[in-house]
Amino acid sequence: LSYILHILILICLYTILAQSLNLSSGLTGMVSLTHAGFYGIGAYTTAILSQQLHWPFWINLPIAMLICLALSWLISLISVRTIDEYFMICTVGVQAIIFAVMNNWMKLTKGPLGISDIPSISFFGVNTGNRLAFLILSMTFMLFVWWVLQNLFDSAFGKTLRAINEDEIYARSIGKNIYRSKFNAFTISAVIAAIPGALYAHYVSFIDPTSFTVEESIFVLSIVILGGMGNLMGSFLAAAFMVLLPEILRFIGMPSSVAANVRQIVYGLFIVLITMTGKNGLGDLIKIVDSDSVRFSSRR
Amino acid sequence: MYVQLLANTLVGTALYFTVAASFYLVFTSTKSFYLTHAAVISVGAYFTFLLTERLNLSLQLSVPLAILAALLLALFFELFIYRRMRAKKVLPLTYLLASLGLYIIVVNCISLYFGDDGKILKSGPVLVANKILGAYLTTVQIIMILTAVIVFVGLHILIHHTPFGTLIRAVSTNPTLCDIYGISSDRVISWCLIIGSALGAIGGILYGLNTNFIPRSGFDLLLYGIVAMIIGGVGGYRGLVFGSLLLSGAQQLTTFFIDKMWMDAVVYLILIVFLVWRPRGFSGLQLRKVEI
Repeated sequence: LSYILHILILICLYTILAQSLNLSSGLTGMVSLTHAGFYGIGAYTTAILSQQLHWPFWINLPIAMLICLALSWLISLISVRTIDEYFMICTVGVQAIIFAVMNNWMKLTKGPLGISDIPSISFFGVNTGNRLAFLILSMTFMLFVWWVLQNLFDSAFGKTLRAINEDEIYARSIGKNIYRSKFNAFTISAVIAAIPGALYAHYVSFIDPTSFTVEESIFVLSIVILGGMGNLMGSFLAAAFMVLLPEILRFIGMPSSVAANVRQIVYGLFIVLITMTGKNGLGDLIKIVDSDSVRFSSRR
Repeated sequence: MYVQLLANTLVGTALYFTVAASFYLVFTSTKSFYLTHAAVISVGAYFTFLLTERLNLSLQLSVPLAILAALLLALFFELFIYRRMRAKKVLPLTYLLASLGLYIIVVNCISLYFGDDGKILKSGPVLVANKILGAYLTTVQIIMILTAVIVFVGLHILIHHTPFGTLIRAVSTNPTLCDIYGISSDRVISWCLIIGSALGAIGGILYGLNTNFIPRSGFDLLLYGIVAMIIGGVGGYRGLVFGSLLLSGAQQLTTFFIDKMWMDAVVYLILIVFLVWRPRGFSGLQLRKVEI
């Protein structure tokens, strides 16, 4: 049972990550590979604060989010000025810088050794050290984030973002502030990514930089592509699928060293299939979802 | 000491220039970032490793075979995936995502077969250090520099003094108009991919001969190439030299004065500075979504 709980917790964390990335990359079309960086900042901030200053989770989380806000504000100042592929290369660069800081700033982050013995979260005298309590906690966060994002997606702001994705020039011509919208989408998405990071650090109680590499960013991005750009439910299902995939592979008797590669090959194949056929997500590919618009095809 | 620093910079410049030039050929004809180029670079290095270490062929024989394998891979992707996507007129970003997926597939196949540990191409007598003007350079590093010079001259002749160069420039300016005039843009793109992939494979093999490599090395090398291309200005191949020089110089200076581990951070910092203030690098043009 403990094992199933572990899987469910991971699904919750990756759902939050993928859904937040969906706001900037899926809905707005700014494909970003910095997400694991923000995830890592969330994890490292709360880990350092709780271990060295013994601060509780409820103070650490807002601080982690604030740091992500400040950093993503800086990055979006830079990144929003560039477009499409240049934006993505730029985010790869930022991801590499964040990773370098985590890996090399020995005094603060202990470098490749990682930070161990991160205390579990306790509030109102309830310790969430056991997995069931932690699952409830992360599920609460997931549902809250989902609710917030769903409202954002349906709001006028979300519609603007969708318009920017589909035709930036046209959106600008009807008086939308593209710069500010992109900026907001990117920062909100980064701030939300700090939540699963903080949760993850307290959950596994040991973090090291290898969990927050560019590969992890690609993994989260592939969840978004699989689930469908701008589709929150899709992100949730794709996150569940991606977390379960290595377990399924192990279940059919594949050694774990091979399974890690096979999993990546599987999602690589899905990305190629989805993008090649110009469909929006796996649901659209196998005709479960009847999408009204084919996102990837050119409109003009 | 400073002479050695200069020599290292020169070697780095040569390597990045070769990779950047190979990617430039792909980019200038297709106008999209084909990340499969990273897979091509890795395949070049790993195929050489397979032939020399596992099948005990000589280096002289395995290098051309590895280059052939790499460009066949690129051609396969072009014919069966990119060309179909181009026929569908998908958004530019889609090529990037598709190539990311393809890259993931290829690299994981490599890592399944060869493992993730660092491999090195044993080059035998080529790895002897030669002292030139007080700096130590291995023969491989001298070959690297010579290759880069040959690539530069070759690229200049190809683009400016051959009919095919005119076609490349035509397709990179306006593919639709080319099709109207009866120039098959698909064919030009395929040829650019073939030449570019061959160069990319050469870059990968040289990298493998110089240092040890892992499946991901191709991606890192390609990123350096892209950074050099962006810094140098996407406009022309001459800028690639400046881009590679700046990149390699910054790396060596960081290694020398700060620490090797901050090398990547410095490189990407330079990239970001350029993307913000000079998105078109030294050429000074501005980047716009639509140019009217």
